[in-house]
Amino acid sequence: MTYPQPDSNLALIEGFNFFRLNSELVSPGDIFESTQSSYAICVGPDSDIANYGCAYFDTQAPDNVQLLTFSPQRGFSGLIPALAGQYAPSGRPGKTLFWSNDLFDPAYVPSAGIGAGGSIERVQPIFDVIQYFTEEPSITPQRTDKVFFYQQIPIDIVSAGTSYVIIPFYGRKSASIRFANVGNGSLAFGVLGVNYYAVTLGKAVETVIHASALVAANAQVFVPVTFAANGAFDAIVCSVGLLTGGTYTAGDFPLTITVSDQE
Amino acid sequence: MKAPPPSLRRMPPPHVSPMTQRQAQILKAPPNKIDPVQMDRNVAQAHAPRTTQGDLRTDAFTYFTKADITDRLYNGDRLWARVLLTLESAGPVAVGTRATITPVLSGQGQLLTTGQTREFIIGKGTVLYIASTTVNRVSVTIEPIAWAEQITGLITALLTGAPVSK
Repeated sequence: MTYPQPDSNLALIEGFNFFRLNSELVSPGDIFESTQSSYAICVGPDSDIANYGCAYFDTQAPDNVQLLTFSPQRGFSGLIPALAGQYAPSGRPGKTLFWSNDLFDPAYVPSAGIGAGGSIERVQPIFDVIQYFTEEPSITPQRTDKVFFYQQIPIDIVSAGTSYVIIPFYGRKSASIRFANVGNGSLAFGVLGVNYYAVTLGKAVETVIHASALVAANAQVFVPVTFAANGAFDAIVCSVGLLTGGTYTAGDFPLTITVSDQE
Repeated sequence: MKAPPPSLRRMPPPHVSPMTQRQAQILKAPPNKIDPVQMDRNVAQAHAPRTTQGDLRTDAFTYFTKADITDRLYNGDRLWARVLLTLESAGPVAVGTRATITPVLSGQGQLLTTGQTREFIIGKGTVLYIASTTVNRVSVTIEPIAWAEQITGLITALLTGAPVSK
């Protein structure tokens, strides 16, 4: 998370009627806090995370901590009072806590390996939660579609390493992946769907969506990904490299990935 | 014997009616801080409230509560006042006239509701306290009611039979 994390009290003092936690997720254990009461909690528009966890002070819950989950399909509406100073068991001020219920592994490396000269372009998931201080007539937790555009992915033309682009795909329903080879050589392009392990860092369950294959010069590949056809993934991995028979001379090879909550 | 002139005649003693028990109680009662009521409509009924110019000015500001701190929002040591409070955040914020209104949810004070203006008429000598468990934004308007003390004092004097000057 960004440090220091945003201060909910400052948001109030500066005149906002909401507090927004908008930060890159850095580690799987990132937890954010708020000391403000809220009338509604929902997923922010720029979120990559689909499922969020929330804990608040409740004397009727075990250990005085009540938990709830909210997502783009289900926000939470209701007054959660900030009962700072009343958290008796620990003697610490009560706070509302937020975290990602979706797994994230910043150490994940595709099992095929990078190879000498390869690289990983890892897009950190955006953690985006909005906490409203006043009653809202309606909340719209749906996330906006996102477009990841790369004009060129750095590849190693000597040692035949593979370069990867890893983008978050939590809860998304579809993706449109388009890879074009505007150069004179032929490059290999493949797409994986990834589900991170809960415990073991660095590894993940990989599903081949589009097997790595050569893309001839001035040709392009379009790979659609849907929840119905391919399933749900934590991330999508695009690989670009030189397979046997591949060549690289010069030119661009743009990669465009559009992810959406709609099928 | 020649009668003395009328100017030298001894005047009979004035007739003094016996004091009623009610009048005696009034005379023994401590003096009212409100001046006696004049029955003459051409005479001012009461003195104007002793104020400075600042006391009569309406005060509007935003108050930010502090976590676990009870603060004096209005100290009615001079004038009566009409205090309007609007909570602009989610709370919880308690206000009350008792010095101890915490814990905030204990019922010792009244909880403000977000977006709803709450009105308090604060009499002289009354203090309005505010407390919260976190930082909150409260819109405050204090409107002095300059004559409220005199008016209520006069009404009280009339109802209780306090001395009435002629």
